[in-house]
Amino acid sequence: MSEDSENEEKKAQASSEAESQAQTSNEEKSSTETISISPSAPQPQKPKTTPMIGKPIGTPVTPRPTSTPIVKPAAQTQTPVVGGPASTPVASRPVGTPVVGTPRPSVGTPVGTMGPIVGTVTPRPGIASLAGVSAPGGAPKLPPSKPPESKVEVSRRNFIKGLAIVGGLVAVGSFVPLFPYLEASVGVGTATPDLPVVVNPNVAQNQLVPLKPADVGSLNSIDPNSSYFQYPYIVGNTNANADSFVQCVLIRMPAGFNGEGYSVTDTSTGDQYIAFSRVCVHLWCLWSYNTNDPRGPVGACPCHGSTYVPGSGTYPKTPSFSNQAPGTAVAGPASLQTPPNNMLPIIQLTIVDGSFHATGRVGVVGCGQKC
Amino acid sequence: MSTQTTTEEKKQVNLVRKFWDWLIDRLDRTGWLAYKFTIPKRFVSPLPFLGFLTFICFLILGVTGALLMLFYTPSLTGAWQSVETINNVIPYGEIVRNIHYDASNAMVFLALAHMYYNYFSGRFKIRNEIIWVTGIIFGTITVLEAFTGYDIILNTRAVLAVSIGVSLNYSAPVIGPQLVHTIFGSGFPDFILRFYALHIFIIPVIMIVLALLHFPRILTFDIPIISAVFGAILLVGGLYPISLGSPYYCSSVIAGYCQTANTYSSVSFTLPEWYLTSLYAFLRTFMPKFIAGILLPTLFILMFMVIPFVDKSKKFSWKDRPFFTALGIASIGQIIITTYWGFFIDESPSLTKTQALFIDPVQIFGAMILVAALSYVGTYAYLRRLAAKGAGGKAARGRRPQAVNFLTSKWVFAILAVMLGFQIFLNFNAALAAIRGFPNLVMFDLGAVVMLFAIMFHLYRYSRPL
Repeated sequence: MSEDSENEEKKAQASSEAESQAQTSNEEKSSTETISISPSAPQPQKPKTTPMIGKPIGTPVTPRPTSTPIVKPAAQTQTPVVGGPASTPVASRPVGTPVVGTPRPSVGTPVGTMGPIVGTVTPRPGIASLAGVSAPGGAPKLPPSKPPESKVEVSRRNFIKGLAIVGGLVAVGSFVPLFPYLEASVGVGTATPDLPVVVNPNVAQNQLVPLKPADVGSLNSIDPNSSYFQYPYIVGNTNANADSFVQCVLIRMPAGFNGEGYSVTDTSTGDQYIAFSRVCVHLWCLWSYNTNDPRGPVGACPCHGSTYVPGSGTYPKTPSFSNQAPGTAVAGPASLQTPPNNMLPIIQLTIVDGSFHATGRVGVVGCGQKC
Repeated sequence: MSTQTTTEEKKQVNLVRKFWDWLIDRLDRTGWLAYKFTIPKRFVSPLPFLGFLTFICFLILGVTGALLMLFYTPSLTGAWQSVETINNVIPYGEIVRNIHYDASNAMVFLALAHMYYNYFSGRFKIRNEIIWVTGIIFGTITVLEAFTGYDIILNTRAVLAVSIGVSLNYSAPVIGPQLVHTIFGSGFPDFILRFYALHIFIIPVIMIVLALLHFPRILTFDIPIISAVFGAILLVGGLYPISLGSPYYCSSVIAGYCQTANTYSSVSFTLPEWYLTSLYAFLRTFMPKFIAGILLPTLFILMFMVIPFVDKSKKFSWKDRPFFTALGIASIGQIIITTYWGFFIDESPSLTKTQALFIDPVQIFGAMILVAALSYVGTYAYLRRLAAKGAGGKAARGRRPQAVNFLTSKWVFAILAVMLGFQIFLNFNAALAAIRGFPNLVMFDLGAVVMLFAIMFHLYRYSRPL
């Protein structure tokens, strides 16, 4: 019996070692592809180096206590270890390898269902700390069981791959702070008005002649009641002053129109003046004012026909234009946009020493009065 | 033709031959010989190599563009003035500029024709998915390149076009404002500089990269057709020279100040180039600007992009694919309708600007749906009639009769000599016109010269014994 058991032991151990070798050789094979050992090839007998558990053959292995369940890793090649309890210790195999053997109860059966063999188990100290095998009755006291370490096995290759990817991401990411390079403005930026005076556009610009109410709509303007100016005006910077976003329209309001607080009155003539941004809130073309538009005095955009009123007043030909706030889009695609994108920004004016000063802007250019 | 080549001639020929072989062998190590140029010995239809003709236009644009770059300044207040200088002061500047403009229009048109030829003939099915997709992207980018090109002139139309282009991008939901701020900067001086950078470098580089992913390795180099394209560009340039327009900024700059006396003039209407008029028509329906200006065109382009993944039948000919042929015809019809409608502005004085510009969305979309429906009905009916008439196709029709060379060589020589004489006369005329300052006449004459060369080469090739 003992001879047979010894032979069986040897065979079991050999095959189990073959399995473990096969596993490691599998890994090695996948990494170096030079080892030609196939998992099913018989392994040469190796001298026994690992201590045996010491249980006699046939002894059913006591199940692990239910309080410390075996953690099975997700995708592990579970090579069942064939062999009796007298096989190599569990430590040499990945956690969770089912230990199949001669009749043994499955994990989780209460200890009480074990046969009388339990009492004969004498676990080795090395195994006991890992396996947590408890041997009630007669067995030496074991140190408190440690739960088996749950290891997620990462192959070396994947680890290096992960390092490389993270490294690459860090390398790429370290350039992200340079992104604001694209957004630095070459042009106007946030210009502060150098000149409060509205510069008369009809005179040579290098003379910076201020615009007086009487000059609005003078000979060089196409419309008799409007002039175009820049706000904010940057002295000497032609590029900045040519920017569409600083173009504005100064309008002499028709009689009877209400500027609702945004207009200034020329005390000598009683005319009211109001100023808007010239940038259409639809698609940013520059609109022009036309006192003699068929619908009444309105500003109209040449690109898609958006129409703006200079103030609230009466339009006998198009009643829908009447009594709208200054700068409201009353026709065209700008009028179909949802508020606040249907009103022009207003330039705040004052009259100082008989000439216009632009002191501020209500709203965001290209967006709307109430943006 | 003479059979008595002396040994010296043979040696010369051998040397040339040897040099050529050496050259080809050394070039074989480089990427140059990845492409194989076939030079047709007989006349072949240009339809299969419209793509290469598009590339020829690209080369013409590159050369003329480089020449224009030498004199153009991309500043907000100097751009139009520099273009005016190129046009009026620089010798042959107007010619270079007109060639550049007409070649850009030719490139967009040829690209469109090239796409439709490959669509109707089913050539995109021969494992050509990548080539097709990169081709659609190429077409879109070509239109963008042309758009940025006429935007940096900074006449009235150009400035308004810049505004519209940037604000359309701005209107993109969620990412619009940040996108504009990042790509285009903030403020018009930025826009102009960046449109310029996009036009001369960024987009051309993207096009070259796309070309490497799009050009098949065998290219047809047909000299008469290439010359004809170049000749046509010159002829059209001569007949319809492009105007400068008026500057939108600074009629002049004195002591660093923009003289605004005549600027910011009211412009009545402004239209984009023909390839964008359909977009303009959409915007004129007063629909929300992102949907009209960006979403719908993008959907149209995407519809073309996925064609090779949708049309999986094994049939190639347009006759055997009624559904997709009808789709192609419908798309052409819709392009034509929307392009024409975009151009059409009722300028009667009784209409206000808004009234003149407004396009009723029900009308235009109804028309587009009607065109689609008619295309389908018409295509199916026509194809059914074809199938009923000529069952069997090419085999039933029989082989086409061989082209008969009815011109004897004496006649060919005579015609070639007359054409050569006419070419010399035209060249002389062109030189005179250049001296007298008629640049459009120069272009017309040069265009005729090149066109004549195309005809002469074609005749020579036609008369050669096979």
